[in-house]
Amino acid sequence: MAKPIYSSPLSHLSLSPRPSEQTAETSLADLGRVGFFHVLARKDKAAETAVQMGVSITPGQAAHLEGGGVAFPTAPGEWMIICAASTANEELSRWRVQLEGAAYISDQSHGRAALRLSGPYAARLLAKECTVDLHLSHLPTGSFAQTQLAGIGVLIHRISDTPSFDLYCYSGFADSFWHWLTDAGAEFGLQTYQKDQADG
Amino acid sequence: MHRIPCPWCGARDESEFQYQGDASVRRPNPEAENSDMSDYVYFRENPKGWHLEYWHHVGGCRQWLVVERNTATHEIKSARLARSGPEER
Amino acid sequence: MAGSSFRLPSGGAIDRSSSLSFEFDGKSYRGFQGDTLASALMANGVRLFGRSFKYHRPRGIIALGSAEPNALVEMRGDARREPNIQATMVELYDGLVARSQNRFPSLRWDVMAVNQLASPFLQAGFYYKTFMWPASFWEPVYEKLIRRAAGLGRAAEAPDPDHYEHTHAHPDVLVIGAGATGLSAATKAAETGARVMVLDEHAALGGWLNHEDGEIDGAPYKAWLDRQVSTLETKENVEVLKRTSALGLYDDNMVLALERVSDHLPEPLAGCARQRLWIIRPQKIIVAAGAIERPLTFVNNDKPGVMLASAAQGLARCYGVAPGKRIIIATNNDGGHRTALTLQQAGIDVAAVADARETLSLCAEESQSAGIAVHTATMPQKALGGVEVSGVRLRGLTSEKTLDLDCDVIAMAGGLNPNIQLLSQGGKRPLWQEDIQAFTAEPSDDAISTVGACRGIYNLAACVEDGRLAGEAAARDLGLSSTAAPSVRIEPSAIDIAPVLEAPKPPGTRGKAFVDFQNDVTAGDIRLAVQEGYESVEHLKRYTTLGMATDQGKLANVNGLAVLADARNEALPDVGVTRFRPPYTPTSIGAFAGHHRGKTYQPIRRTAMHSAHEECGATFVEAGQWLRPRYYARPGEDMLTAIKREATAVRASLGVCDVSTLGKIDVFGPDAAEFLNRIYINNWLKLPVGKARYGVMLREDGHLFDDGTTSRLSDDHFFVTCTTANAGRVLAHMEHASQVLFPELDVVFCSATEQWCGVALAGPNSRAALSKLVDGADVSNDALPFMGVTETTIEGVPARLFRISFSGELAYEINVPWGAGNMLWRRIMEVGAEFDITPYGTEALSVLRIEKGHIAGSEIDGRTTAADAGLGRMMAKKAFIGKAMANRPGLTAASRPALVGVKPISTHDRLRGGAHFVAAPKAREQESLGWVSSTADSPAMKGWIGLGFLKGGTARIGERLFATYPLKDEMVEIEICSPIFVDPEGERVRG
Repeated sequence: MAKPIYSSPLSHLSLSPRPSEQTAETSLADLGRVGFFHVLARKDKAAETAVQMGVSITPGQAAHLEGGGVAFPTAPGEWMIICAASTANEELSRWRVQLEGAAYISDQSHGRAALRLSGPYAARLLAKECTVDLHLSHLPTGSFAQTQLAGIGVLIHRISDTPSFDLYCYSGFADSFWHWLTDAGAEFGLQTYQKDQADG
Repeated sequence: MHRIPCPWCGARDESEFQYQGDASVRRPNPEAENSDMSDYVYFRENPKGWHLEYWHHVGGCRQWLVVERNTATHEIKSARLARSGPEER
Repeated sequence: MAGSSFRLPSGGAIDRSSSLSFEFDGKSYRGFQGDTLASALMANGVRLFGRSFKYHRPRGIIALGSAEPNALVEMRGDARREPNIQATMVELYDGLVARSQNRFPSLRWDVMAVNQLASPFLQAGFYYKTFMWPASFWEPVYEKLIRRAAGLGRAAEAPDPDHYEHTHAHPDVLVIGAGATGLSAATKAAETGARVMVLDEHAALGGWLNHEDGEIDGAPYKAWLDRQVSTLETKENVEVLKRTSALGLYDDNMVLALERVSDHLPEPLAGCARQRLWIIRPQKIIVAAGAIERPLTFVNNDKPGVMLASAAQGLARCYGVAPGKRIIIATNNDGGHRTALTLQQAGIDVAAVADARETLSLCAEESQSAGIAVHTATMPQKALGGVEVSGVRLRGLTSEKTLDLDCDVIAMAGGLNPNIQLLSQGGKRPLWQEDIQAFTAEPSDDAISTVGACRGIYNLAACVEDGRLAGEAAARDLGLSSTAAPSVRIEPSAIDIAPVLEAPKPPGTRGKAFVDFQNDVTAGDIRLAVQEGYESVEHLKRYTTLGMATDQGKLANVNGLAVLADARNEALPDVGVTRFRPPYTPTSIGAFAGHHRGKTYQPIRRTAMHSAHEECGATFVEAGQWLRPRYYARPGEDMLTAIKREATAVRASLGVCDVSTLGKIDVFGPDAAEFLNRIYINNWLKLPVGKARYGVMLREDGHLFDDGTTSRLSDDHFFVTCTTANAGRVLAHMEHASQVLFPELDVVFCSATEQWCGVALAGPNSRAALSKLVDGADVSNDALPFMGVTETTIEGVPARLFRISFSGELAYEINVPWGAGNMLWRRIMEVGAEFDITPYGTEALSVLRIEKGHIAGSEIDGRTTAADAGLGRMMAKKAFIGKAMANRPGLTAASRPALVGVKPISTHDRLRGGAHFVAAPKAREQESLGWVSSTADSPAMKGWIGLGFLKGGTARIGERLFATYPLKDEMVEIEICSPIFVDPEGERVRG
């Protein structure tokens, strides 16, 4: 059996890969597929789940997981684990075993689109619809916020000071979200591209 | 516009929440008299001043919150997770 | 009129090397970069800007900036046409086109000025009084007349081509107003590292610093200003917003501000917004909004040529424009004298100052020494002239002697009103300050402070110091500065002002003395209102419309209160105040809407197979936020033909429909079944793994809420589906149940709607097609019976098969991960080719479900119960949400309409949803027996069929009734039948 070929919720845009020369411009990328798991701790088992995951629960703070991936504590007893698509199946199996009895996992790897917005105007662009303060003093690198942009639920993860944000939204909204971002970015000369799945 | 201090997400704009009404009502035992259920479903106080209200944080952590809000001044005193159970009033 | 005869040889912050061409009322003029439309027209000798709202009186500019009530023009043209723009706020650009408003046929000769003759009709309360006349006259006669005569400007008729946007900001310190005080506050706060935002409504910062000369900290105003601005603009922690007006102060100290990003340009630059609405959440607000000069109330004080002294001074100082050839200043304080001297220094002839005070102040003596005649205890009684001012009649306040003087400008200096509009909006009550004869508003909230002229401090050095202290205090409160709080606060000094705003009007004086220029409210209107009993300030406001125009009474309110106090024979502070309303300045609806308009009003959700549908020629329909294929018309086909073809194909062979939009929820936990038991009316505890079941939910009030098919994938994992329309509500309902009602249950769940996409494969050939689709799984009737669920793969992709049917045919719902949606569709079209597979949309889906008698949104309309829909027997003997209320008498009455099928007697008749069942073919006056909820032109039944709710329900099968639809004057004879039209025994779905 051939390895299944999945498309991103934005594959209909036929985006080009990133131009070879890196520019300092503000840019938006479709990150393609990622592994995305919704961890739901059972009643009264949030602490046990956290221990099993090897994380401490700090709301708003993403935690790096041993063995790869990042966990976002999105609600009491709930986490979103995000990892590379290439390891998603193995990771899902591993976590199901590890959290057995403490938590359930709903695989959402197809349920979310993943985008990356980087460059000098990234925060300014998001602020057009984002009611959460994105300033470094309030949303430092490594922290995240779940909020709504242009009516779309989005998880915003700040990945660098420069600034650079990874954005996750439900797959059905991806096209609409993309178009809002590119409209809002027009004045900044926003560049768009498809991130090569191979470049990690 | 209100800024509601979600105990999980931090202070967020009212636009992320859905107002879900009086949080001081208690659902009667399902086998209760019909009139008790009717009170629970339909009858609400309309207080001027401090009021316990449900606000559902649909745009964030999706938790139901119990928010203590002053209906006259719009001041918000506290917000806690509804799942933590009723509180003595 | 032509030529730049009013441009001064020097002065003003204009670029005289950059000459711009513009057009007003079809005539071309020239101005300079840095001009406003108002200053450029004044430079060209144009003083008549428009006609007033009610009386069509000629009007010129009175104020400069956003307080201007009169000089409203229509800007640009076609789709960008915009009415009621203050000419004093329009920055000149090359090619600007503007028109005056409210005149016919021309500005100078306006036929509607006859309204002045009809003015007894139009005085205070005219709307209310007119309503008293025979009602039959109102709409056809008076309303038309008044609508034509009144109103300001014309909106564009085409959609606005520009875009508008919002931006959220979270500064530590927001400084409103960038005059000397605001700049000083912002600079101090910024030094501490605080995130500072400072905004000002003008393109040029500095406020009053641009109006006169002086020194701050030993530097000339201009140098000090340039230094402050350049320092602020280079700091990373500071955002300076020019052309930005704070519009409103709301709950939790949210401030809205409008940035006119592109209004000073012919068109927005590529990608840039026309206007941007700032939604600001500051920790600290420093209101440094300055003060606004008051006019004086005298007869004909609205004639072009009568203006505020600050406006006259601003024209000369900011734009190098002489307000006129010969100026007379009317004042009640030193401000008028300062204007007199400033204008004289600019080379303008100031003929006299009429000072309402009895004794000469030091400042008045300076005017005298400069050769300007000063008349003490004197006020203007009346402006003289035709369309424009040609003179003034002065009158002694004690001597009652009059003196007529020639002039073309009467400059009014009635003292200053601290600009408390934002604070008043925020509920801060204005307080009368006797020392400065004005209202201030002291915020009780320590997050807000007012500084400088905004709280009655008019000495510039004191303002600068007040700003510094406020900036420092804000930083201290934020923990960014450890300086000690000063022991004393700067307090406003008493000013020398005569407490009079209205000139005496000797008996027999005719003519109107205006208080509210924009709404044409006169002192006489206010007195009439009091005489008629509208004494309360709130009643007065509404009866006369005082202060209710778009300028919110910036100039009118205090002058109006003075007249009211006089009429009630009370002191001004005793008559009360009204509250200002947002927005501070007129704001386009586009700015409030921002991104959310037209196609981007709300986000659009696309299913995984959207591109495939496009390739199949789908016409889409909005289902909530989703776009779903409505039908797939072939070339030459209309909608109804396509729908019939699609529905027929499903019954005859094979169809495929995208059902990805159904809400899907993963429910996990040892108590998952118990949880479902409490939210559905039917039983879930004994559902075996690998089986699906149809479930119905009620609202707590006992009415139908939602339905769907839910499957058990393992002991502790259920997969709930709900309707597309209710997906969000069902999830919220479940969250309420789990977090609030039943926190004791060991159950967790989350949305999986977009993890899985799905299709319905329906029709007698669906099993044959499915067996070719899956990677070898057994899909025989034994292996996968009706309501069976199994997991398999398709092209190596994990897939879930649900043997369920909405159409009534043998059917399967197939779910694969979202990213495999296009692959699934392509494969289905390939394996279905031999069965002539037909994609069908929501319309055919609806036809099929009506033929089968399945309920949907039209039946679950919020008023119906499970019993009404024929599902009463599903209600199990257990506790569930809605049970208690579903059993109340009103919802169990035998007389309630219940679900039936309906078909016309004549196959040519059409049924309509919303038609009512009646017993006889009379159009009116008979009881409704129920209603038709859904209809379809059914290929299977060869004619129209419907579902509906009828009193008596299925007991009336076979009866003949009528369906009346009065909106189209239709009356159709019908027969009541079973709601299941096709395959009533359910053999096909089980086959």
